Amino acid sequence: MTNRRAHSLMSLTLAGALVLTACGGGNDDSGSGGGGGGTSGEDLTIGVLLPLTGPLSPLGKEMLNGYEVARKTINDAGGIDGRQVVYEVSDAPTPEAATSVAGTLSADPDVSLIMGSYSSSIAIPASAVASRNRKLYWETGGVSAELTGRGLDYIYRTVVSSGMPVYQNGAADFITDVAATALGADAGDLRFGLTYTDDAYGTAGADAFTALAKANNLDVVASESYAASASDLSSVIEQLKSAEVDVLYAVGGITDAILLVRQSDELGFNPDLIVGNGAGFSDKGFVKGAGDAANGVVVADAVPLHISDDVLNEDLSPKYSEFTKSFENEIGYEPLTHATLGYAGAMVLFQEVLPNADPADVESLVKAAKAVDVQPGGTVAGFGVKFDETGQNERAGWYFMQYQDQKLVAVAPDEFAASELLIGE
Amino acid sequence: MTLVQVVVSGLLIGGVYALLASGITLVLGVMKVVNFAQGELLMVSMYATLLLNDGFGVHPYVALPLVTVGMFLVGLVLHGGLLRWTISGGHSQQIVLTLGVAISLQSLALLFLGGDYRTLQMEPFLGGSLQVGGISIGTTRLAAFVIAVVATGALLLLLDRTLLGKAIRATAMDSNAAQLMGIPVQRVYLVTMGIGVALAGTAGAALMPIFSVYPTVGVHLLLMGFVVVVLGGLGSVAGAFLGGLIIGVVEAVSSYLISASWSQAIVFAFFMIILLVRPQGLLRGDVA
Repeated sequence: MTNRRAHSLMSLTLAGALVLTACGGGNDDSGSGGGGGGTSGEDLTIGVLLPLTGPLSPLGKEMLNGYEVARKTINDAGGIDGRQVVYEVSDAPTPEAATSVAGTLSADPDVSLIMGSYSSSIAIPASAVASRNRKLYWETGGVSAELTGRGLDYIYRTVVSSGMPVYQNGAADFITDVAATALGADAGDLRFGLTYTDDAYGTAGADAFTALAKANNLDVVASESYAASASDLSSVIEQLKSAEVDVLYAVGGITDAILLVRQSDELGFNPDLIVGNGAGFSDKGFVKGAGDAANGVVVADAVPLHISDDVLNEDLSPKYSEFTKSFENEIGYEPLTHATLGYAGAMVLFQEVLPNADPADVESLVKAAKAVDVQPGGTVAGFGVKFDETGQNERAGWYFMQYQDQKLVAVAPDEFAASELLIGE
Repeated sequence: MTLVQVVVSGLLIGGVYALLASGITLVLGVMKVVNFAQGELLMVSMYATLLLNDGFGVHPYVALPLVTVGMFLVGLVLHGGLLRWTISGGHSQQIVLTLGVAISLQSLALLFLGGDYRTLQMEPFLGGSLQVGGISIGTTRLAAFVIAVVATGALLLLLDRTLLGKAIRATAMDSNAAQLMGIPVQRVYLVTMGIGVALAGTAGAALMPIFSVYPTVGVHLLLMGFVVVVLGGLGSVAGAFLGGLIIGVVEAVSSYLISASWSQAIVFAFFMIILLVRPQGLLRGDVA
């Protein structure tokens, strides 16, 4: 091959590779679907913005399942003020797609408000666009503190914020009290490791843990971040191994969560306890991918699973068991965390906000949202709902579950616990 | 000791990069075609391995030869049906075509198989990991590495020792002269494309026990594949192998010594330095 030819081929290769990366990220096939009821003037249309393709899609779809069950529940009960709820479902797999999809939904006069979006990295740009266009943004999944911390007027979030005391103290109480007791040691004597993905979700979770560790004098001996697309975590695991970590706190998505647990097993890194923070660790694919390596992993998430109706308010309707039953009928398996969060968030919107507002008027929606007052135990997710001035639900909760026989069981806080924390699984 | 472990892990993942790169570099060296669909062909091979396992209980390492042969046929069809028309048409036509194939395959996978992450369910292979002098080696990663070594060795032997290999090398050097010498150049192209795609098949089957598969899984790996190809020297199969190992080790060691979130930046910075210092790549092409 001549030199000139080699050079032109090389530059073409590089240019093409760049084009390809750009193509790979943007599966922007925003479309509508899941509506079911046509678009007559009587229907109440809600824009649903979720990542339904690409790396974030498994949990995005899970949240959509929760929305669908909520929609069916409310429509079967006669709808909202006699109007049937329909969804305008749009796929937002990346922050760039989220910006354009949020723009389209905001500009649609038939869309009353936008509901989404599971991931903070999607919610942050999408809610900014919605607010700029004076459209209410109802967030049921993303927990990054930044989301409600930017002074946007039209964002309301039912799920916990990583900046809330309950999020930080919940983890602190669990680690210093429940976990340390089960490990038979003082929390100050344990060696902690932290791993996280270097995206918005990962860094938010890591910042929260670092603040917690500082406040409680925990000894964090290793702190490692990595790209969510990493194909090999052995160097991260080696760092943890040589730091002799007792308790690992891991924040991440599903592929890296599976990779972390599997490779830890392979490389002989066996901490006494692994606490996984949300997202990847509570995905139904996690147990499938990690197999028995998942057992014993504690998951911190914004909703408790497998709870009994007794721990929730008597007047909650439908009850937790009724929700799980209709979910199993509709979707075909038990609801996991993101489905439950999506369902609970959508039901608050359908039962507490929309009946008390003019869906076409954003100021009226804001007024109704500000007036929401659901007591703790008043949703299937356990928590109550009352929004503070930033639009954050100040009654949102944070819960701990453990994989036991490859099934998530609530272990803390006490009022929701269905089993003790098991060590050495 | 820990550093040794990190280097070993880097070598293992490097073998995977090498396997992916060898298919690209072969096609590039012989046909002067940059195959942007190689990542998606890898994705198709991963799904094929997964579906053979899910549907018929075929162990991934048993599926490997089946998938390799199947993908060889796919390569023949791809060349015979599409690529051959663009061979004389210049790079822009070929790039648009292979990119188009890549995007179509991604979309088809999304349509028929969904965007979910899917993982192969299998019993731990040979106990999951081996302990050698205090170093743990994941058996599935070791298997992928061994497969990469065997595949690269076989390819080099084929190019070096057989009549077909001679024809391929002659075509790579000068296709007009080769034709004048009586070498059926079009048939050489056909077989080369078949082998190139078959290598994606081998890589896919070897990767499936390690990684999850989803429609865009090829994109990130392909980017690494291109870096390896250019680093190793365009058209050099041995260079691709060497380049793969170097990239794997640089990635792992920089993750360990600096930070895992910096590893990509460091790999590409290293790549830029190599381009400045030795733009022709590490080795001269075996087939170019």
